[in-house]
Amino acid sequence: MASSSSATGTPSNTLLLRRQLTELMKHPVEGFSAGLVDENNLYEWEVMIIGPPDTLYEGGFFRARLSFPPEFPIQPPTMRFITPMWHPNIYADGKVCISILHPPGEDQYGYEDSGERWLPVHTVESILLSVISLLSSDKPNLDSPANVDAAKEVREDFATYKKKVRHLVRMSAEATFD
Amino acid sequence: MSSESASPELQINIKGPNELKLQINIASDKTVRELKEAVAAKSDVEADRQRLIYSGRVLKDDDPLTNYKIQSGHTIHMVKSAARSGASASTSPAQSTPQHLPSMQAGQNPHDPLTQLNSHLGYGALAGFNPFQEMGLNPNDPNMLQTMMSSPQFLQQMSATMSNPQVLDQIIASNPQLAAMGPHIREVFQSERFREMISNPESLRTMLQMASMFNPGGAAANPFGGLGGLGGAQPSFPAPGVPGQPNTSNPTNTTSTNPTSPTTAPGASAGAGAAPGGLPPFDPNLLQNMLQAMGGGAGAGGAGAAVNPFAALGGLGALGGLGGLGGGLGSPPAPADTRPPEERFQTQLQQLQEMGFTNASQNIRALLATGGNVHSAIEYILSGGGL
Repeated sequence: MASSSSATGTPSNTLLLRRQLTELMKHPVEGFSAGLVDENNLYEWEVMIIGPPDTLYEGGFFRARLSFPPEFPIQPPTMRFITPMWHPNIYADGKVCISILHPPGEDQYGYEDSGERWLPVHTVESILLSVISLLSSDKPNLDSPANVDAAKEVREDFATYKKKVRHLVRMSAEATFD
Repeated sequence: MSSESASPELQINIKGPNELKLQINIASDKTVRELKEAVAAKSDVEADRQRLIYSGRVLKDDDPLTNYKIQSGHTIHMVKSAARSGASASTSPAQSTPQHLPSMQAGQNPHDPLTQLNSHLGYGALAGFNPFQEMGLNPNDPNMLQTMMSSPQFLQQMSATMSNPQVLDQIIASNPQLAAMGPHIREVFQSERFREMISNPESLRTMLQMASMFNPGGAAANPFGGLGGLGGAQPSFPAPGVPGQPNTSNPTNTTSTNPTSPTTAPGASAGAGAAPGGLPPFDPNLLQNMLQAMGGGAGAGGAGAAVNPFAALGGLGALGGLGGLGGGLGSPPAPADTRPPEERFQTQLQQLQEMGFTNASQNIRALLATGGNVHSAIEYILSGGGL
């Protein structure tokens, strides 16, 4: 156990990632598809989330990158949308802000329990399912928003917020297929 | 390398909307368009409406399949979209089954640490969340636990539970048998090994398989019967919860298995998951309840277990299993398993093979050295052991 955190880039975490990759290639999960950006680098993943049906995001295709640090799985990966998003929990640059991607130990937001933050048992699949559920909820969570303007709009003018999201969803579908 | 001579045939799986699953055999030099036509021939989705996604990328019609390095046996997502220039996608029917995620419930007594199990931490899911009902799974299905183990939510919950010292204290304090074991049991609960066991899908799965091997039809049907066996299994790998293992309380888990499940099962359909409290504080059957709630047996959690005399037995049996764990640390080792290591570690060997560790004799030595723990075995192999 101790050895995996000492040396950076020990092959054991690439094994873990390789294993998850193979599993997802053979038995992909409903709602997203994942692969490597460059087949020689297991630390950079390309992800496409299929907009969950019966939500604002239905019909959209959202590209994102998952970047794993050398300390994975002790430290969490980061996830960044390439497709433009408008959501209180997604920064303007696309970075996803969800509690399970927050590093363990430190509680920079002051309200999270350690069990909500990153745990090494999380996988690409569990992360993506969390993000899909983030997109699926009717009203986004407005506690400590990553995108303050989007949060404000959710609170004050939900109709406009929804319209903006729908527009981005349509754009995402066009960008994907043209 | 594939361009010379006849191009090899790929066997591609297509995962489509509404549980649609297809298997397409196609030469690797064909284009995406040709693949779509092959899919159209086998389904009612015309090629123009298909969106194929593989490895995080959308496949473009004109590209040859080789561009995407699709391998035989891999699966491609197929999404049905409105016609290409079509209207807003929201008019199209649901494209796939929505992801149901557990709903959370508030705890009853904020001063009780176990209330956290019902709080925003997510354990509340255990009370109301029945993944198996949604998936249409039979709680008595021997594969149910495997399914459960592969659920990230379950793993997260298990791991978080075990890493919370308050919860551990409560579990220990609420059970005389555990409390009697003194500080010993705390160490066990908090030990890296136990934590790993309880949060590692592989080891749980492996041990479950073993538990069901030894208690055919029984342990697998009752999640906790299985786990009870596991507790015994971990320290002395060769004797996984076998009835008659030196640990005296262990056999109870087998006796309790079958009676409990049918009694609690009706709770699921009644949707009693909303029962106040979900998991009653100070209930010695805490773990049992948790697992039964997960197992779709008792949506009502504690309620189901409390009225059922056998549940108590099950709880004891389970803890007996833990006792085996505690005992294993200090007591003489259980009788050795006489089967050859190839047979004992069959599952783990297969996993190591799949992960690319192809040196069979090294794998066996690593598993022998680590008591069958795949993760430790990997560490062992990577550090050059067993050569």
